[in-house]
Amino acid sequence: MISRRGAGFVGAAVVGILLAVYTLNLIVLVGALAIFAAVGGELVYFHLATPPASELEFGVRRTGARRGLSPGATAEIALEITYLGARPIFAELRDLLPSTLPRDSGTTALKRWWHPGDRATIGYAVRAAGRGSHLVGPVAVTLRSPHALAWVQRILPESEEPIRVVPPAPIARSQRLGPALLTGMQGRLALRQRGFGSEFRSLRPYQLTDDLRHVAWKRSRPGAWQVREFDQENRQDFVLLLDVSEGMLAGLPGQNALDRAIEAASLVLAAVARNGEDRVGLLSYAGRPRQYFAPARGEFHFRRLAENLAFLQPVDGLFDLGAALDLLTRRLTTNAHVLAFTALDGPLAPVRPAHLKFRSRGHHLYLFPPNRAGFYPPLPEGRAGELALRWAEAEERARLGRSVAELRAEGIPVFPYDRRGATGPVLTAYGRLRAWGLA
Amino acid sequence: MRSPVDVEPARLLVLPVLGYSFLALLLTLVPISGLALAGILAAAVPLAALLAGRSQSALIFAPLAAWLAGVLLVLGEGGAPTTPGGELLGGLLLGAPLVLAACVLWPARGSPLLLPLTGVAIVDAMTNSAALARLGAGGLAATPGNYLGAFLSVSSDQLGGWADLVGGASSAPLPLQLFTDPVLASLALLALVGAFLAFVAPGIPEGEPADRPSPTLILSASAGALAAAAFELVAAGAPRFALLGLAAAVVAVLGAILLLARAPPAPRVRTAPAPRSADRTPATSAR
Repeated sequence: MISRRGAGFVGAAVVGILLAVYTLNLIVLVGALAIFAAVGGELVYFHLATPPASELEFGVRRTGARRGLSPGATAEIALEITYLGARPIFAELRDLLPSTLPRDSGTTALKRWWHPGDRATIGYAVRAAGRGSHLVGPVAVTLRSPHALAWVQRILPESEEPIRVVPPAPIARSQRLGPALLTGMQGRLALRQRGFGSEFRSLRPYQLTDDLRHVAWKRSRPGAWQVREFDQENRQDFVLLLDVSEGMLAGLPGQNALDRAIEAASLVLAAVARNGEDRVGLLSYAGRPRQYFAPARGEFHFRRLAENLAFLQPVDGLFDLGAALDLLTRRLTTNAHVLAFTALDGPLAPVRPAHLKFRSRGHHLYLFPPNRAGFYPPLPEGRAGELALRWAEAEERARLGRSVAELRAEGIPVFPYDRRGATGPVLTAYGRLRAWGLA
Repeated sequence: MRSPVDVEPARLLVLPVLGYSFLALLLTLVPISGLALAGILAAAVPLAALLAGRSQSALIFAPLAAWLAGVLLVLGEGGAPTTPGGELLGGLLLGAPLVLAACVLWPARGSPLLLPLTGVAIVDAMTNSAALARLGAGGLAATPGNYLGAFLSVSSDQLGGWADLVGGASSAPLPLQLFTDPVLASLALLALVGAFLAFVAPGIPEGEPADRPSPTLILSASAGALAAAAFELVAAGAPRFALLGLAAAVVAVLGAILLLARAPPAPRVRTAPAPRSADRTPATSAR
C-alpha cells in the first residue's frame, strides 16, 4: 500500500517532471528525473522485495494479563513473539489497544530485524479507564519502506484477548463478607434477621450460601444435600433503578456518575445476595426501558444482574422518572423498595401522580441523584476555563437543589452523592431498610 | 536505510537561488516606484510573519490581494504593463522569490511539498534571469512594469517553442533551455541537491539507523542523469519522440506503482465479546 506520504511524493515528483519538461533544461531535467527515480524506485522495489502480508507469520502468546479488572486498576500485559517466516524482515509489531485501556507504562511496539526463529517479548501495563469488555490486541505487523512511502500490514489472527473492566465483583465482595455472618452484623449493615418464616414451602438442593440449620438431614444423602425453604414474613424486594441517559456521564472517565451509581448498586446486589431471602431486580431506563429484571434470587440471577450492571453504558434518551415509576407500578407484584440512581434531568411534573400511585401499591422510592457539581476536581487557580467551570457548578448546584426540594416535598427520600461515590448513602439507606423497613 | 544524520535543514539550500534571483532583480530595477515597492512589501508579508514566529496561513492572502488589485488596475488601464497597475504587478513579481522562500520554509518536516516548490523556485529564477537579459537586449528602461512585460514575453516564448516541438518542429527557441547565468546554474543545482537530501531525511521520527548505507542517493541520481542524457540524445534527433518516450516512461513507472501497491482486502474487525447473559437479555423485555 502507498502511504499518504508516498502518494504526496509521487505527486511532487510528477510535478517536478512537468516543470522540467516545461523548461527542457538539462540541470532541471536531471534533478527531476533523479527525484522521480528515487521515489518510483523505492516504491517499486519495496513492493517487489517485501513478502506479501500472508507470509508475515508470527506466533504470539499472551502471558500475565488478567481477564478481569476494576476501573482504575492496572494490568501487566506481556507478549511472547516468535517469527515463523522464512526470510529476514525489518518489521514493527504493535499491540493495538483500545482507547478505553490507555497505556500506563512500557511500550506496545517493537521494531527490529526479524530472522527465522527469532523470539522477543513486548511488555507493558494498561490502566482500565471505563467499564466494559475491551479487546486487547490484535497484534499488527507493519513493514515500511525506508522513507515511509509504502507499507504492508498484517493483523495477526487470534492474537487478541478480551479484558473485562467491571466494578469490584459483587460475588467476591460477598465472599469477603462471609466471616461477618458469624457476628450477624458488619458495620451498620444488618446481614441476618431474626425470625425466619415457619411455614414450610419446599425442598431444594443445597447451595453454598444456604444456612446449615436449614438442611433437611433426613432427606439428604452424601453428595445430595437438601434444604428446607420457608415462606419468610420479613422478606424484602429491592429494585435498582438506573438512569442510563447521557446526563450520567458527568465526571472523569471511570469515575463518572454512572460508574459510581453502578458501584453502589453492585454493593446492594452483593448484600442482598448474602442476605437470607431478600430479592433484587434491575431496571435501566433512558428514553424507554432498556433492561428489566424482576426481583428474584439465585446464583444465576445475581450473576446476570452483576454482569449487566457492569456493562451498562449511557445511551441516547431522557430519563423520565414518572414513566419509570408507572412501569414499576405495573410490573411489581409485591411491595418493593426502589433505589433509583438518576441525574433528575427529566421532567418532574409527572413524578407526583406516578409516585402517588406507586405509593398506594405499597412500594417505596429512594432517590440517589449525583451532585454533578462535585464530579470534577477543582481546576488550578488562573487556569483557562476555571470561571466557566465555577459558573456551571453553581448552576448545577442550584438546579439540583430545586429538584431535591421539590421531590422531598413529595415525601421522597433523596440522598445526593458526589465523585467520592454513592456507597455511603446507599449502605446507610439499605441498613435502615433491613433494620426498620424504612430509610 | 535511513541516514542517522538529520538532513532536514538541507531544505535551506533552496533559499540561495531565491535570494540571488531577488537581489539580481532588485539591483537591476532600482530606483523603484512607490507602487512597485508596495507590491514587494505585500509579497514580503508571509516571509516576515514566518520569520517573526507568527505563522498564519491567512497572511498568504496579502500578496494575493495585491495581485488582484494590480490585475484590476491593469484591466482598467487597457492592459498596458507600463501603467501604475503594471508597476504594482511588476513589484509583486519581483517579490515572488520572497513568497516562495516563505513557502519553502513553511511545510512540515519531510513534507513532499518541498519538491515542487523547489522546481517552481528554479523555474521562477530562470525566467527572471531570461527576462532581465531580454530587458537589457531590448534597450528598454529597467522598470518593474517593463520587467513584467519581459517576464510575460519569456514565458510566452517558452510555451510557444514547446508547442512547436510537440507539433513536429525539429528545433525551436526555448529561452529557459539553457542557463544564461553560471552562478544561477550552480545555485539551482545546489537547490536540487537540497530538495533531494530533504527527501532522503527520515520520514519516521522514531526511525532507527540502518545496518548498511543507503544506495538510494547514488542510484537515483545516476538514473536521473542517464535518463536526462538519453532524453537529450533522442531529442537532438526527434524531440517529439523524446517527449513521448519520457511521458511513456513516467506513466509506466506510475502504473507499476499502482499495480504493485494494490490495497489488500480489509482485515476482519472483531469486537470484544459481551457477557452472555447480557446478550440474552432482550432490550424490550420491559414492554
